[in-house]
Amino acid sequence: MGDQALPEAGYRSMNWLSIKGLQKKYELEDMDVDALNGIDMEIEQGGFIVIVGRSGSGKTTLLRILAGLEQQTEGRIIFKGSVCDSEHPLPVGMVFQEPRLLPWLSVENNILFPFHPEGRAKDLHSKAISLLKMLGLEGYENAMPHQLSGGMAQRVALGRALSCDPEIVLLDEPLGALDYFTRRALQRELARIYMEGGKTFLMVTHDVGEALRLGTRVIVLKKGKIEASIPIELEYPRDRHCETFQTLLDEVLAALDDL
Amino acid sequence: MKFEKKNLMESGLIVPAVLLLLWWAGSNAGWWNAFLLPSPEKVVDSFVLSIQNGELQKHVWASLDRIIKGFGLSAAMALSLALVCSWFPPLLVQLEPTLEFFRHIPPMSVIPMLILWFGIGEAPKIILIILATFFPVFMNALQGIRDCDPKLVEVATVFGYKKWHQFRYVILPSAIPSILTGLRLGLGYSWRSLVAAELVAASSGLGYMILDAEQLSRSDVVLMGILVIGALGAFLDYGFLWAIRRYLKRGIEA
Repeated sequence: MGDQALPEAGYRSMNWLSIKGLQKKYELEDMDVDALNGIDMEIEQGGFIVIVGRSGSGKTTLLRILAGLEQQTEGRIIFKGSVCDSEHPLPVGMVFQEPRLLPWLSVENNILFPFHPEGRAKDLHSKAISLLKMLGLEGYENAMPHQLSGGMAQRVALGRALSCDPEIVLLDEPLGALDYFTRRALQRELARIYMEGGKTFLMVTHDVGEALRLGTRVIVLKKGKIEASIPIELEYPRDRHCETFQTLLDEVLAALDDL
Repeated sequence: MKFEKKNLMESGLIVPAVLLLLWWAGSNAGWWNAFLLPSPEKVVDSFVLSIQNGELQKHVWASLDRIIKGFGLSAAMALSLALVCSWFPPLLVQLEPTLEFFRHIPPMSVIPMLILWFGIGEAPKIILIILATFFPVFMNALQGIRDCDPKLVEVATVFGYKKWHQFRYVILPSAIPSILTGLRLGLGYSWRSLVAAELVAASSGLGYMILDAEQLSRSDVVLMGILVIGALGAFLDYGFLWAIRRYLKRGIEA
């Protein structure tokens, strides 16, 4: 991917990834729960889409369906003109709320985890090293996961998601479990990696401030439906004291509010 | 000086040293009948003699040979069944009540039937070892595979792992510690059950050596046999533990 596709370049190309009428029902003992209730959405290539919502709004379910971890009850995901299913999943890398590193693998082998079945991990040493460098983890390639702090482990998880060069990076509240300072530092890095990579980012968070600092578009999800889709046209790094930022923040908060 | 003292305190050697000293002192002072508990010197003498005429080596090898065959066979069967069962759960559902029944039968209680069916050759002893060691190996392997964190399997799914690759690269490696624990338990059980089998029906092996000595009223040889069994069992366990540690260390580096 490299630097040829700057985020702005593909920003307006439509019909790249379309989600049409997505529904997800969970059958509990005595009632059905609608986690997603008809989601229609266009995701532009090279965007940083942030999905916010209260717990139970369906935001994580949406991400898990895109990741192929769950099946929608109804609706379609169309990527570059063809329908995605379990045989043809979206080309994604994913970061979860917890790092989910494999405890018996070194940092390098965790980063190269997507390549283990093909037996290619050994040839990709230099790739792992350059990813570690980008993530500020130089020299940690032989460390084991239990030796890392929470923030470092999450950086490794991010490296793992990026190592297979996915077109789409899914982030499920990736910074939710980190302390304030680590979180801020990683937000800055995410913005930088997004700017450098030309990939499409889809992030779920419950932190509205984080959404506004990172997203090129914030989608507010409420009870399984899209409540609002708010474009954020601000330069990185964003100044949260500027007027536009505050206006947009109020807009997102208003959309989230039940009253 | 202080350092050496600390080493002694942490070595765990004090208890055996005291026991040995008591044994030696009591034997020499005549606190008990020398036939009921022969002196350490006598036991050492019979040990040296037995090595010199090659008897001990013969019996040790006969026992070890059965362990290698029986435990090897048992571990191979238990591990493959655990793999098949975790790969294909309906099989486990069908097998579980039967296995649960057999699990509660003390292997020793089967000895009469084994002798009836297979005589006193090698077969009943090997089968006995299998009966005694199959379940710890099987259960631990199964548990290890079941206990794999589903969140890690999800990671593999996201990165496009096929089912077999998930098993090979995520589920199996995460089960290795508990598989090794099962093997270690099984090895201990195999040793204990084997000696019991040799006590009942055998013409070689350490259990037989003890039984033979009993009939010749050689309590020093009996005692020597017991000590050799204990020492070998501990040695096997230690060796296995060492191999596990080595393997795990290398697994981490690789």
